[in-house]
Amino acid sequence: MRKLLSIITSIAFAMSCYADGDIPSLNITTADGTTVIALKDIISIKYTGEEMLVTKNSGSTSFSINDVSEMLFGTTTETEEDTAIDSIEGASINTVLYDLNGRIVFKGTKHQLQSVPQGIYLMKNGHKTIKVVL
Amino acid sequence: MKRIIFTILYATIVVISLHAQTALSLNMINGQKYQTLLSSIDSLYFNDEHTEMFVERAGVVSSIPVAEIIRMAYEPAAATVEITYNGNDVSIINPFYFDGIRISHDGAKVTATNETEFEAEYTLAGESNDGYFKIYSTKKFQITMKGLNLTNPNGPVINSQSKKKGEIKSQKGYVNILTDGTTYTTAPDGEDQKGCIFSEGQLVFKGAGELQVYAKHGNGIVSDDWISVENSTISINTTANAAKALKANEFIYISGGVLNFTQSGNRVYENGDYSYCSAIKADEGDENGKAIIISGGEISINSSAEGGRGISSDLPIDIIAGKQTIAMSGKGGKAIKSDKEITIGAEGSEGPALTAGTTGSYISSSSGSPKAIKAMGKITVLSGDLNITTTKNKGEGIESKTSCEFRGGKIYLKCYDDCVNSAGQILFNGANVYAWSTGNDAIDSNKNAAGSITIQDGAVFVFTTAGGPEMGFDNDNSSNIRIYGGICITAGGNQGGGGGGGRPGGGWGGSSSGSSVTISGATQGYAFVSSSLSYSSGRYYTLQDASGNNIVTYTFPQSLTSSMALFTAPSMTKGSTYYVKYSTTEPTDATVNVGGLYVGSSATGTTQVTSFTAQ
Repeated sequence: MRKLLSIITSIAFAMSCYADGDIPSLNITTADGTTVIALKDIISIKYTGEEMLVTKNSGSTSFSINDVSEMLFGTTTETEEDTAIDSIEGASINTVLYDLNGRIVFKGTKHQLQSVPQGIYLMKNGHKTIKVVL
Repeated sequence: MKRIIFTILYATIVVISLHAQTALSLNMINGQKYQTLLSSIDSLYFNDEHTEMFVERAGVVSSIPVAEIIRMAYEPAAATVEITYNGNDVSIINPFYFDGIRISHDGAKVTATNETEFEAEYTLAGESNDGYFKIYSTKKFQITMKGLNLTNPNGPVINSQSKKKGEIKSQKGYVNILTDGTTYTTAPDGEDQKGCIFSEGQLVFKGAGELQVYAKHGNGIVSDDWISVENSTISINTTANAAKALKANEFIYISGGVLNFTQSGNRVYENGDYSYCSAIKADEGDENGKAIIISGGEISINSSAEGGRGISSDLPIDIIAGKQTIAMSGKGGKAIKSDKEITIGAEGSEGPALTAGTTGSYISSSSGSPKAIKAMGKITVLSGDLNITTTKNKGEGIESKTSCEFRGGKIYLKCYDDCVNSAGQILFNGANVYAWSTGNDAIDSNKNAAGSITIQDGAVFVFTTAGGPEMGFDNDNSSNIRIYGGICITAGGNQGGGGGGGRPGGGWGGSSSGSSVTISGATQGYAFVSSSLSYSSGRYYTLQDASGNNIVTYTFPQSLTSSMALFTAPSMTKGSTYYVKYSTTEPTDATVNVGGLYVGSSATGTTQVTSFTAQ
């Protein structure tokens, strides 16, 4: 019975992957929350020591494999940047923004992010660092 | 020292690294979990349609449909394929999926397929009343059982269709129970399924755990190649007619472990011959032509099978060491049987400790006699502690159609029929032998030629309590006995009738003096005493010289009257007088004590039974 449910779930999932407007994604869950990355954005996933490095069309994101509790395939309608920011904003810890030269240009919370000039930055939150466009 | 430290350090590092390894685990919709070490992954990526995930390892890319992956996680890596049976289902962790090893299952019926160059290990656990493990493999494999309780009502429980070697390990601390059904469904074309555990290839049994095999259909463990038992406590129970508990097409080596066999069932007449139940049986032999070699371990066989065999082969059998206890209670049972030679013990060895007995009667008056040890070829005992018994009519202890040589060891025989019987020579050449026949001759050679019974070394005490005409030594013509050394005491009846009681070649005449028998070429003194000697139990009889020096001491388990006795020993010289005296005190300083035979003692008797002058 459990297997049947699993199959039904998977079929439903597979069908949902191709529903209009949905984008297949990899949902990576850590203690800090779930990071949703569209599969179309993933170039590769590689491992270096204890780190999982997700290389995307728009930069890369690393995770400590010790922090990853599970990874599920799902769907998203959001861009990865939105998802990442949402995830980070949802966290209660501070966000650090670096410019592309590695200089810290911002430390603060969600609302304070709005004061940062538009541009491309590296955003670090906890163990995660991603490239974002503001 | 450096090497030891390095080895320990290396082993520690290996263990630590194994424990530290993390795998990417994929929970699949087929209920299985695939794993691969993170360290083995070059990269993961997806096709443009995002329907396939590619796993690149060492430049080799495998693809998995995304829709079939339920979940991924990072988990400790399994070292083996882990298959856990749970009723009619099974959980599977396959760390070798990306190496090409595939596991399929229908309920709890599991089939592993390995067509790679990779040797895999499979760990089996759990319980099912309707399952099996079947394997096809182009490479060697290992099966480790950790608390497996598996029943296949329709066929073998473990079925290897691989011609490669399979190691079957019972994990220490676990009891594993395998049971097959009374009937098997038809095997696929070209496949055999010859037992509860069957393998086309070699089988090696290892591990400090326990394996119980209940074979209801027929055979217990069968290999169409060879079998080696290195360890494990293995119990095999068969109930079918003509079943073989442990059977190899080529040979069987047993070097360790504890093996317990229980058999019942009848013989089966097929292809013009009878097929019998057998606990351990091998057919074609190793490169030296040996079919069964037992060099260690403990073997216990209890068989009530009709005509059952304990250890048997058409080819030579060597029992070098270990402990064997073989009890055959069925009609016509044979504890050890070979159509060639049987060799027990080894030069310079102390083993084995062999107890072999039959308690069944014969199947028919013309065939199917119970025998403890029977060979068509020569039977040689080089060392060991042997305890051979039979209790029913026609039950012989040791029988060879060729010859017997007792070169070492301690041999105790108590048999209803002949303790030792041979169509050829019986040579005592170093062993210490106690043989008591309750219904026939103690030692019987039918060769009827010079040297058919030869005493060359060792100590021999043989007697019959059957009374005349059964004898201690039945040699047909006693002048054919040869004496070149050793100690020998016989006691028993006389063949009587002056012509040997109708026996070929005659023997000692019923009233003739034994001293009239002359042994040609004897290298030491001897004497045949045909006067009546009354022996009683509870007395310790010492053959001693005129100075009272102990030559040998012997005692009987029950009273008997001997009308023919042979005395010889290296210290006996022609023309000297010797005495048999008894005391009621058992010798305590004998260097050899077998049954009622005491060698090397300083004991002396106090009450004279007889005296004689050596020839």
